[in-house]
Amino acid sequence: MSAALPGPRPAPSVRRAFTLLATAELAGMAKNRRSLLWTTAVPVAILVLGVSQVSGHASPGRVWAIVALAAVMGAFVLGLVGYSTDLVGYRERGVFRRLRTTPVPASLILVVRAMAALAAMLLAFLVVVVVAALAYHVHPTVATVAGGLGVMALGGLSAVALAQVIVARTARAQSATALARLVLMVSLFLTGFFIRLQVWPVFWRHVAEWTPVRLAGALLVPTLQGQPWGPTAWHDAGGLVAWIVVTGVVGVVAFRWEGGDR
Amino acid sequence: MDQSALHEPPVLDVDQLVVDYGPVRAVDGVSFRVFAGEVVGLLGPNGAGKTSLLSVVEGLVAARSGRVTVAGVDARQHPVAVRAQMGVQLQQTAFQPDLTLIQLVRLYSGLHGMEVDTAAAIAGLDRVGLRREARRRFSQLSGGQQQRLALLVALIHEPALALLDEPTTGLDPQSRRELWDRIERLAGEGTGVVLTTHSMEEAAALADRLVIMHHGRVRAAGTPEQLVQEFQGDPRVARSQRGQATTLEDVFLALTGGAQ
Repeated sequence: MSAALPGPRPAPSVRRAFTLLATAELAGMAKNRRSLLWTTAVPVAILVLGVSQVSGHASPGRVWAIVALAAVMGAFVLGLVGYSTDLVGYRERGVFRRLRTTPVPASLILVVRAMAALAAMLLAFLVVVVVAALAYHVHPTVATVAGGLGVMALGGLSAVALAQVIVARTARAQSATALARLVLMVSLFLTGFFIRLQVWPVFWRHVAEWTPVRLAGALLVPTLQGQPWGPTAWHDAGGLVAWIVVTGVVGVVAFRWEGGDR
Repeated sequence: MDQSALHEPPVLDVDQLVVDYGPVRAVDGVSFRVFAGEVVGLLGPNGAGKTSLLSVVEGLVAARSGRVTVAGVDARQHPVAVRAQMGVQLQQTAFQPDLTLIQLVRLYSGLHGMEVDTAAAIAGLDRVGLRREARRRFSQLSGGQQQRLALLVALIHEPALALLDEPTTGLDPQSRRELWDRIERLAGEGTGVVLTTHSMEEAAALADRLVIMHHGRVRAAGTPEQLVQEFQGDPRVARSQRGQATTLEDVFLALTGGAQ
């Protein structure tokens, strides 16, 4: 036998590693039928149900409001529940541990997961817009769709950042799912989805105004309608950015690669 | 192993390593070296510190103190460069459940800087008896098949150092023998191998040297024959011995408190 060392192999470039990881993530998502269902069917179902509740012919403004609600709810279901459950599941099963033995910066693994989730949210948004255009005869322009994608990216990031905190605070996939669902239900409740905000006490109305689901929804409606952003829209955008920064920092700082009860 | 390798720098040098988990000391001042083409067996009961030690080398756990170098590169200062030199099979086999075996082989070889096309991935899978499963998802494999895939992925990039944590757990006797052959071939090609196992038969068959750990410390180190010779007159071994001749298992049990 030879005692010569097998030749040193350089680590892949960050760009190459990103491409490999992203391709694998998207391939995994495409094969996961449940994930596909959550990603596309749920927002479309909300859209159809929402429009069917409108008595008579739904105006374009009303349809866009329901599109915004459907897209944002879909994004938060995917971002909060799907992302956090998948991430904790990866950690629990040891997939992260396996990936971290490769010569790839560990942070890239998380970044790719978050970006894949974001891409799925944007895809779901486009599906909802196309269904709305075909079924309810609204006419989106390239500018409104591009603006909508921008708002959805902000909303999606806020969902992922919030999910990152859930991942940091839970050890098991089941606990992450349960906590994410609870946060989702509270977020939906605070949008006035179940009880209209107008009948709420003033304090709770103010609290509700600052939830990421409501902020994203409120920002998306005028964007899809092609209206220029006024002070209220900038206030909502600022609120979303604040959510992303605060929960993102907390989620990343408190994140643990290894599982176990805490 | 080729004795000339002993005159070259070790592929793995673990020096006075200490690992703590909170108040619990998992590894307590462990030192050992692995040279090119050498198979070193880490033996110890559950909780002896074997996996913790490997986790530090793999860059998964930070050591409290001590030094690890792989092919002359400091693992703490250059973790990415060190991981590029290593092939790792973890005790818990886990890959992305929805990816096919071809996708997994291509992904992990790519992450180690080696481009593998579909044909080469299938050829690799064929070598470990998984050709028919090539297009199945990881989640559809049996435990033994998962183990074989993990070994393929760990070694496909021909690393300078292979860390194999209980690689034969869950394998049938045929697969276990194939794996032994594979490890011997790998060492023959110059890869240094660290192997943890609970099987004394495996340790004696494969390892050039053994390191016996207990409670985070090295209790004994040497070739299987040296260990048996060194401890055959030891009263602790006499207490654990069941046959006429002293075996490696007798020595292991005596040193790790199994016969008390």
